[in-house]
Amino acid sequence: MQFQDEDIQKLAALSRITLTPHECEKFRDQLTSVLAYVEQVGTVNLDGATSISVDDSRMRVDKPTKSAATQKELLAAAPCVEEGHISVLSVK
Amino acid sequence: MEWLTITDIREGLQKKLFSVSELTSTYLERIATLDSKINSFISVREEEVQAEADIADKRIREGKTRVLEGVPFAIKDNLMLKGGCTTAGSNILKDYSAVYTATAVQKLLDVGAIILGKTNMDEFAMGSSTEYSAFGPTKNPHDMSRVPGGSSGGSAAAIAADFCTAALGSDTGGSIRQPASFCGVVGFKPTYGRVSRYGLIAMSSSLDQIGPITKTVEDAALVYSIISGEDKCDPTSSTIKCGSVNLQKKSSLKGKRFGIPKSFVGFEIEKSVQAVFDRALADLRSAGAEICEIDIPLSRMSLAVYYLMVTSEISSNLARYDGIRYGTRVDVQDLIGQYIAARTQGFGEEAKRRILLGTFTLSKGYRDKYYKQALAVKEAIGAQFDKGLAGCDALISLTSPTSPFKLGEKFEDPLTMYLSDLFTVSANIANLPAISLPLLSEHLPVGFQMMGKRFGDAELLSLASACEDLFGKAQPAKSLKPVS
Repeated sequence: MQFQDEDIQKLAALSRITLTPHECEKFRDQLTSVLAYVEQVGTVNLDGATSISVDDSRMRVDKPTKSAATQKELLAAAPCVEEGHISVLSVK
Repeated sequence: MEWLTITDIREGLQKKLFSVSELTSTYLERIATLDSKINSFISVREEEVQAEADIADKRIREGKTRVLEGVPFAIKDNLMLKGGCTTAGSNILKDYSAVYTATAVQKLLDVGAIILGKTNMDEFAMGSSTEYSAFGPTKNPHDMSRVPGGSSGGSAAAIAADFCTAALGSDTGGSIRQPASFCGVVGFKPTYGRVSRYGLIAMSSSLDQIGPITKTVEDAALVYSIISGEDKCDPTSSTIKCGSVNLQKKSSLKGKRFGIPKSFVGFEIEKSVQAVFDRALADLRSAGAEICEIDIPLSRMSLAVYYLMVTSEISSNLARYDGIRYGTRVDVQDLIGQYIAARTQGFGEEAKRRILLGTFTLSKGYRDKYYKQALAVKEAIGAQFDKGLAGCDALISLTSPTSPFKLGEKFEDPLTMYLSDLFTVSANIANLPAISLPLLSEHLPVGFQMMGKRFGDAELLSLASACEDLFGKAQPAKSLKPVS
């Protein structure tokens, strides 16, 4: 698959980043070549393949635990705080 | 005080040859004098370290010495240490101060380790050279025109430059082992699930694993035994009980069987690097070990599976960086504009490249074709490695097909950069423990990789210790002068 400029711009919009025309051109070619390399994964025939996963995933007990951080510490990490809340800009 | 191992420090402190204050002052002075050339640290905890050293000295005087009392560590800057800056090598977190401490780091602190500082890394651990850090590249202490490897390049360089005794890194596709190889030190990636990832800033949650970078296998085994184990805060930490590491009882190499994956043979390997590896093989044979080729055909797919998994998981994991709860607020008019501005200014080139590809591979119509297929092939690769490992004690190879490359050499060609992880990614894809040991070389450092059985971390370390005795121990970088 050959990425076009529009594909890259669409992916950038979905990823919430903007690209300069130079970056767009560069990523278009680089991602085309990386994708061509990784596409070989699709050629693997998985009939009869076995799994290695050890299923020891478990649910946590549904009980509140004490947070390692206080509300004050968590709020201090945010760049904009108003009256004890993280402030955000309006949605337009 | 030069090139001290953890064992040396424990002995020196016990015999009162030096105090923790003297020890940490020597390291801090060395960092202050020489790190401007190497750039291995993003932040150094000078003030805190001096206070912590006094406390350690007091504990020693009172007979309350813990296992790592006063041992100076460096930790990769994607590991949280409460109250200190944790940048993950990214501009988007340049002002972020951690609000809790990673379990692996806390376990070190609980036994008395002193954290000298946080080390440089490729942004969010994406890279093989530490050139993708927002805080400038790290240089290889063995040759400052070359890269230290990555992404834990800061931690490996800090060990090679003797700026600390031991360090922590993280390894998603080789990020502990490849820099350890490039810097001529020991780097160990435990089995996925053995070390809690709580407090490790996530790149690829299915593959990331924390591990030690040290001067000796003995030190790596000690650090591993401290940081490993189940953690309630990380549901992917394993509940499987593993044997403890015992290096006192030396493994003999006689009769041991080492497999070289056939698929690793035939790749373009730098001649001088291959010659050093061949010499190591000859040494192993002389010690009575048997070396055979083992067919693991699907291992050829590891790198492709790796890049599909990491880019997909990166696009998901990095979606949280929006400049709202942490990061930098940019002066714009609306919320979407704020997200876009924060991310566009905050992420570097490699992060953007991987986010874009991951957004593509997870998009409608492509998720099954790419991400889900990659997960299925991952399982099949793991099963083939298990079969291969059933017939031998460990798999061996070079850690990297090349010696440390020049700064800038692979910067503009991501696929070539990705190929430098060729030999290391399989251990992550197959969930196996793997270690890189330094091989003595007249020129640049070369690493010898050993992969063990899943959850056979202790056995692998024991075997690696025997190999280290045979090959010789890590040596400090000659180009850096000690503080007189």
